[in-house]
Amino acid sequence: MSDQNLAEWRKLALTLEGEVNKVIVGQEGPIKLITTSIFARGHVLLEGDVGVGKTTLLKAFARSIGGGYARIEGTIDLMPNDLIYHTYLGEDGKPHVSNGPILKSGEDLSIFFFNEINRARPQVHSLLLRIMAEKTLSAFNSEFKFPHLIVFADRNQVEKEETFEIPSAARDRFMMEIPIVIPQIDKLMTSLVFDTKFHDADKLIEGAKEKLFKFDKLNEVSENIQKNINTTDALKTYSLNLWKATKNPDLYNIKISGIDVNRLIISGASPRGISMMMKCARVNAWMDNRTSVIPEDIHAVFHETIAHRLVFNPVYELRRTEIAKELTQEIIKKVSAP
Amino acid sequence: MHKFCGILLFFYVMGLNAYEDPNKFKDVDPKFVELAIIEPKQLVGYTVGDIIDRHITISIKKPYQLIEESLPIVGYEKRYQGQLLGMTLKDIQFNKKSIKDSVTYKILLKYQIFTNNVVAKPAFITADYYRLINPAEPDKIVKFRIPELTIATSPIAIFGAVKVEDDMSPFRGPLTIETISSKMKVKYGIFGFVISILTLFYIYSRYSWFPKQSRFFSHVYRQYKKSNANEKEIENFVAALHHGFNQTINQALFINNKEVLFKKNNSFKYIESEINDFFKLSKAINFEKKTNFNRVDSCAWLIIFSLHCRMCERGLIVDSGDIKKLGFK
Repeated sequence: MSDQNLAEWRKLALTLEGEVNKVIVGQEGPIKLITTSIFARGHVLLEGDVGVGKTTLLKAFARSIGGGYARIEGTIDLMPNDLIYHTYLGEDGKPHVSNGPILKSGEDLSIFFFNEINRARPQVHSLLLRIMAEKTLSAFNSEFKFPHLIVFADRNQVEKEETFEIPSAARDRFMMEIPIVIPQIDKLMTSLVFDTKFHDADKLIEGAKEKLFKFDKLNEVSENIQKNINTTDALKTYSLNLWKATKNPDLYNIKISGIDVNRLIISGASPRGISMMMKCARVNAWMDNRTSVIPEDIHAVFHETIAHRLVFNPVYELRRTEIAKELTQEIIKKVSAP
Repeated sequence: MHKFCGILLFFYVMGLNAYEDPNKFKDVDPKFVELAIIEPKQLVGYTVGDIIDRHITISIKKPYQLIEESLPIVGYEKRYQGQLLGMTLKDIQFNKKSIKDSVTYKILLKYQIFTNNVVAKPAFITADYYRLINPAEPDKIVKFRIPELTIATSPIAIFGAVKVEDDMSPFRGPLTIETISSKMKVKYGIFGFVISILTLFYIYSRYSWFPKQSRFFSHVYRQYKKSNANEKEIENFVAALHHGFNQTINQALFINNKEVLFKKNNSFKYIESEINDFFKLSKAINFEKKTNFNRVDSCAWLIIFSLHCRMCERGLIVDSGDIKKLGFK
């Protein structure tokens, strides 16, 4: 793929970002991050309170990307086979089996949207883990491939009843976990309450252009972005130091008030996590029309690509969201570049 | 009333004790005692506040010993025939040295004058009696007399206030102003003034320095001001400047958190555009590996930038125009 093609795809990426921004207000940051994730070919987990627009945001992206789209709601009685097939009695009175949401679109499946993922059982998480990591599935004595698949999932951290904690192995499969927070801006909040266009979410997302580009080209584009965006030795050293700081924050004199930093971290970012961070940083540089990654590209994606991979001491796990935020901020503050 | 009588009786008894009858004890045989007194050279012209020193050296041969309690007591005011003389023992220093069959006492007595008169008047420090004891005959205490010292007290001024013009004695010579000390004062004053002005110029000049004022950028400037414009040297120079910024704010400085630096030291706000240029250069060198920039110009620019950072570090306001004057944009 030539530089010219990459430049054209960059325009498309910015158009995608612009289209979603047209219908979802006040979420410019998360929208840029999701766009980054799409072009870095990584799965996205949205985290936030109830009714903040997580589902609408993901649906808007699904509409604009195109390709096969499937959606499932996480419930406590959802079983892995519910994703693969469902059985019914046909008009002929005989039992029939039809493809479930995962298999319905075949290889063209572009977006699988898992709503309220933390309501599903660990068995379901386990199946999803394989689909996300390997993009394959074994069923009916054959193997199915989903080369263009990106999983979008959301969860709310408020409700704990009838929910299952997503295991760290499953969290690690997500390229980003993006917090969705409604900005405390009076004008925006008033608009969300009184502007009638926000009352019907399905109608709202129709405002975003449909199928902006060929979804089956995204893998190739992503590969080319990764090849064409450079990283220097100074940047490699910087990212390595960031990685080390996630494992041993005390070595970098990182302090968080009220937290014993020596005991905080059980496991820092994984190699896969740091590699995903760098993939996202490259895409961020590409979207900002640069040919090299700079520290600010890493800063733009650091929290979202790293925070959910950190395994904290159980003592601090209940305050995970706030501690992770503070920790990633402190790491960026303390680790210098070059 | 009884209380008042009691107080009077107390003072009467004290007065009796203070006055000692010279005839109470016999004089010691002079062969047992040697006395030497160094009297003050000045014997006249004493007035209120003056101090008279008497150095008394007494050698007492055995078997006699000095009863040290018989020495004058500090604070005791001299009397003559019950009248106060206006002289008080201010201090006594006492030194004792034994040699074979004798003991030598060196006593320094300091008397302070508390009297004067409108005319010169004789006064004296009355004789003292020091008592000696022979341990073999403790009941037979003997005394030894320290002779009195006659002096003369004078008025502070002759007949009170003096009009100088009426007192122009040809024997005294004219009173002259000491010019040497005044000239020295003027010289010292001018010297101090010049030093102050130079110090002020130094403080407000762009190169001012005070101990502990220089922190990070001084070292960077000193280390790299003569650096060569080669790639490695420039890379190190940029890294050192980054380190200086990081040390200044105690965290990593990036282009998007400059406000932390400005909050810490507002002087850097005046070179914000230079800091932006520095980050551009740093990005080009460290993260974009651009090689098509002019190394000589960049090195010269970095030297001036580091100098400006040093000045900011010292709290000075920097004129960024310097860089433009040197042809940098």
